[in-house]
Amino acid sequence: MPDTKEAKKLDQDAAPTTDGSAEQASQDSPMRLVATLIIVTGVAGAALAGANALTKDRIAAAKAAKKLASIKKVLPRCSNNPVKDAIKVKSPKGSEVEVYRCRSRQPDGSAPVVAVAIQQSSTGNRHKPYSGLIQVMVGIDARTGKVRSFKNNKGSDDVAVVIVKLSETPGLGSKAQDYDFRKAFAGRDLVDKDRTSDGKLWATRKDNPQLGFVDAISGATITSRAVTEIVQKALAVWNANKKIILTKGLDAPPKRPTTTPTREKRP
Amino acid sequence: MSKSSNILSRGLWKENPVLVLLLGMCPTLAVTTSAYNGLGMGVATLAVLLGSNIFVSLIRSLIPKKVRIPCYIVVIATFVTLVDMILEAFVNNLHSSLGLFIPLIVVNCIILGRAEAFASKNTLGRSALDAVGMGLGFTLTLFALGSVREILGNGTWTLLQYQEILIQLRLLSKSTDPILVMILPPGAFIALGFFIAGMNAIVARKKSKAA
Repeated sequence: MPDTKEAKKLDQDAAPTTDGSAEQASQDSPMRLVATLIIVTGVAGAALAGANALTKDRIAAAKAAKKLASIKKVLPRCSNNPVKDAIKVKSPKGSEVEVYRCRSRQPDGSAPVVAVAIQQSSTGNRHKPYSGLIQVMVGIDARTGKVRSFKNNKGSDDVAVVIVKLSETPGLGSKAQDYDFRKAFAGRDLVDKDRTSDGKLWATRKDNPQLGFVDAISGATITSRAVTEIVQKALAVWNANKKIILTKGLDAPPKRPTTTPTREKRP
Repeated sequence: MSKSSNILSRGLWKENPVLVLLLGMCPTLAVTTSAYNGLGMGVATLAVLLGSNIFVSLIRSLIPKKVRIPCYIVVIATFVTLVDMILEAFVNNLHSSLGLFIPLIVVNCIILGRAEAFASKNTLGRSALDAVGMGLGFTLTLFALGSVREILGNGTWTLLQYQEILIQLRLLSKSTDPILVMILPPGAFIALGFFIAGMNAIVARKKSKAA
């Protein structure tokens, strides 16, 4: 490449020629080297600490807004703020899960929980996703224990299963976000370990042609299985904690402070 | 002394970091799945490059030769973290689609390369110009690459995606199947190959005309 030679000339023609041997020696003393590094890292650290203090609140607000947006998508109109009315419960596998409760104020003044939103991820799945992590927000009708289905604001049918995060292959696994796949979960519930109340099995039709009810995405069976298991896990959390979710803090508005969103762990 | 305009323009064409120097291949190939992602990555890199070039140029006479690389890396990493925080706070959706590749700007060869080869030997003004030229060259190339890949692979052209605002043109109708491979990893190599070939063809034609 002829260009790089020219580039070198270009770069060097302005290079200062200051390294006299005396200066070189004083520059190389170990104290000077250590001091330079300490000062540079110190200044950098201070600058970052300042920037962190300035952006911290905005980052937390942006994260909370994102969370609220996906929660709102799976819940009906609520008379409370579901994020502020969240409750921490244990999943059957023992991990802590936040359940966002949606209340509806009744004429008699009571405000029973009408629906809940539960987010689950593919972490700990038996069926792993094809790549990365999948997070799904599931909205469950509190009266029936079934995955909510409703008309969205465009007037078309929708189901309260929202893919929050997904890094599957574009065009194949990414179709898990489409209604055509998600509609399989509409009105499904969980009894026993892996059955619905009408005797179907929480599995793809491909794995169990007789009882499975999920139509796997063609070319993305792995993704379909993973998402199915995540939705099933969300229902399992609901089943195991139904009582606490429905009764705790029913009359008085929850006194505990809003949960501060924690900084997500980097991959 | 080379002219300032020359410093600015060579990053765009003659020494384009992606198409001629073939630096920064990792973000180039990985994030250009849409025009907007390419643009975002380019601007983030431009910001880091500008900050680090200015800073390295300012401290160039104070830093002993033996520890210059660690010092440059600290400077670069600081600016990358700053950009990371700012993106997360103000353009959260871009931050989540670029993901891991923002912290990885630290190891982008373009930035350390310019710090070592140019900013450590030149005045502040010239270093800033160099950063803008190289950064713009990187940004435009990523934007073009992202545009081609998105249009062919998804049929859309996303120019802006900020909170509720979405400027997206649909260039292929929904019923036509796009060339899916173009937004998959192999598509990055294919598109980049055509870009470099096209660039070389233009350069060769110019040379033969001049001769």
